Amino acid sequence: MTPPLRIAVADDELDMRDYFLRILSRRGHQVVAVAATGVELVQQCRALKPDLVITDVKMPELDGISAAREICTEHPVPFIFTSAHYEVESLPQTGLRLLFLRKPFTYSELETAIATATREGRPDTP
Amino acid sequence: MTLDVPRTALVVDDDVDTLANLQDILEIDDWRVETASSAREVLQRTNWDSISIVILDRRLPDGNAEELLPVIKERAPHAATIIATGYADLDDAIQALRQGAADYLLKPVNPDALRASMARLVDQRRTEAALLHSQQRLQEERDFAERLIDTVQTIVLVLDTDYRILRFNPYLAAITGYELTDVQGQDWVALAVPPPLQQERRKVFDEILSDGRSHEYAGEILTKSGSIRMIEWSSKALIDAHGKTAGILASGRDVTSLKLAQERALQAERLAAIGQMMAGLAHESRNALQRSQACLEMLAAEIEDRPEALEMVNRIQRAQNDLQTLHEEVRQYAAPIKLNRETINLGQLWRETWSQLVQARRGKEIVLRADCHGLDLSCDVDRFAIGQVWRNILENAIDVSPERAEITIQCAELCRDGQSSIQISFRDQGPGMSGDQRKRVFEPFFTTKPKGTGLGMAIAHRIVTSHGGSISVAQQDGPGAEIIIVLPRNLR
Repeated sequence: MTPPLRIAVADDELDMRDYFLRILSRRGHQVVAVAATGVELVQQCRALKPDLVITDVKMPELDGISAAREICTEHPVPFIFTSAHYEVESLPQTGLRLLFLRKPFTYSELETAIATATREGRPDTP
Repeated sequence: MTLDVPRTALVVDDDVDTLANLQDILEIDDWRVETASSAREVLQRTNWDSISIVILDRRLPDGNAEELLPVIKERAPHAATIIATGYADLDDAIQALRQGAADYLLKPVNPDALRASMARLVDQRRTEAALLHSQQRLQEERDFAERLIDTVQTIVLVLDTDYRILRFNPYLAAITGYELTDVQGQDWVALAVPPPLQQERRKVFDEILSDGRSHEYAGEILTKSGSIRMIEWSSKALIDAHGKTAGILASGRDVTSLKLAQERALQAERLAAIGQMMAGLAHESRNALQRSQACLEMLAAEIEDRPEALEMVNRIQRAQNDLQTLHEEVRQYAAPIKLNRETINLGQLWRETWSQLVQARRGKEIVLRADCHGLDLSCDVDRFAIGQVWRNILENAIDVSPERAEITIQCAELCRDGQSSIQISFRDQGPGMSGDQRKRVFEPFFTTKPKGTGLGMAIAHRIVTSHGGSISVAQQDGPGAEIIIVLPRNLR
């Protein structure tokens, strides 16, 4: 189990926003921001500075990758991208470490991804 | 070719004076003269080619004209023979004419009569030679035309005005399977046009006969063996030497294989379009599957204290997993393959795959044994794609294996189409495959398992062929199925 984290999530599907909120809260995390677009995500992260961001790639207004780029310039934070559409080689080059979770995923896969993202995000772990 | 008759005469007489006299007369007229004074000499003569006229004394001491004529006729068929005879022999001379002599002269020979006779015979020879020559030319022309018709890789069919077969060339004979002599005179339409098209074809023929134009049309024919060939015809009314319509000359091209290739291309295009749609559908359903998955997990969390309800959720979860697997496999099968080829050790790849199959092997004790005799297993392949092939084959092999079993891999170096290739065969100890199973194992959605999409081997087939390789099942009845793969080592 990962220690409780302050997590921001973004997905344009209501079901997914609902899911992240309930499941992550249930596992002891604090979901500090729930965004439906990339723009919302950037605004909320700016204000709330979460420990981890879980975001869909394809969203209206601003996609998840562009949002991550903006957020990380001000406040570097580990990201998990979820997407039904990516084939890794077709993604834009960002210079960011991209941790991907392919839809559809299960909670246990999400949990593994969270552990990986936060471990790699902390420079003091081997 | 010159039509001159060679001016060499053979004079046969036992009287020296007569010989000299005739020789004089002929030589004045520019004849070359050869002489013989006995029947024996005539019979012994070998060179007859140059002789165009023989003047033959009716009576020789050692034979007479009746005996010699047939011999001369045989040895010099082109030569004309004049019989020289005394008055008393006239009846015999007439007899000689009947035997094939060209003329007769009374002795003593009157020079003018001789000249007139010779001139007449030369004329005759010349006419005959000209006739022969033109006949030969005609025959050659006919032979040539015949050869053309026999050789041309086009259908040539001639029908009379009632559409009965007058003739056709060997090319059409080969296509239809009919020999001309067997079907000459038969109604072509009734014989070789598929029944539903006969009425229409007769209408086309009626038009061809009536309007004198050339008609182009596609028309199927029915061969002797009952198969259908697609022909592109070009037909026209055939006009005889008197300007009368004699029938139909139909020429045509067998376009069956062309049409088939076009149909196959069209089919492939249609399949590609369907494939793209299927791939898109499978891809797009991931989002919906994700939402369903999310809601299932939320529901499970809500009812975690109600085991019966939770069991229902588990069942939905299993159905959902199956649906997801199916979608992914359909997508893999239908999506365009992009190969990222690199040099890979195939053996290392199947060992990696094998180690990932722990779950599938649970409950069985199966050993993977490879007999590769130190063969170099490096090959330019897409690691992910070929790994998928190994996985699909090994999963099937594990599934059919008894509790304790061995799966054997054998490798061999092979040269195929001039390319260095590796052959790899996977053999299990399961029940083996029936003939029908072997035939259909690579068909999409063909499966013998109670669970499974039936796409595993179809995907393997697609991946291997896209590498320029081949995959097949060893032709043997069980037990133990053997899958054989050949992969070219290098990119071409």
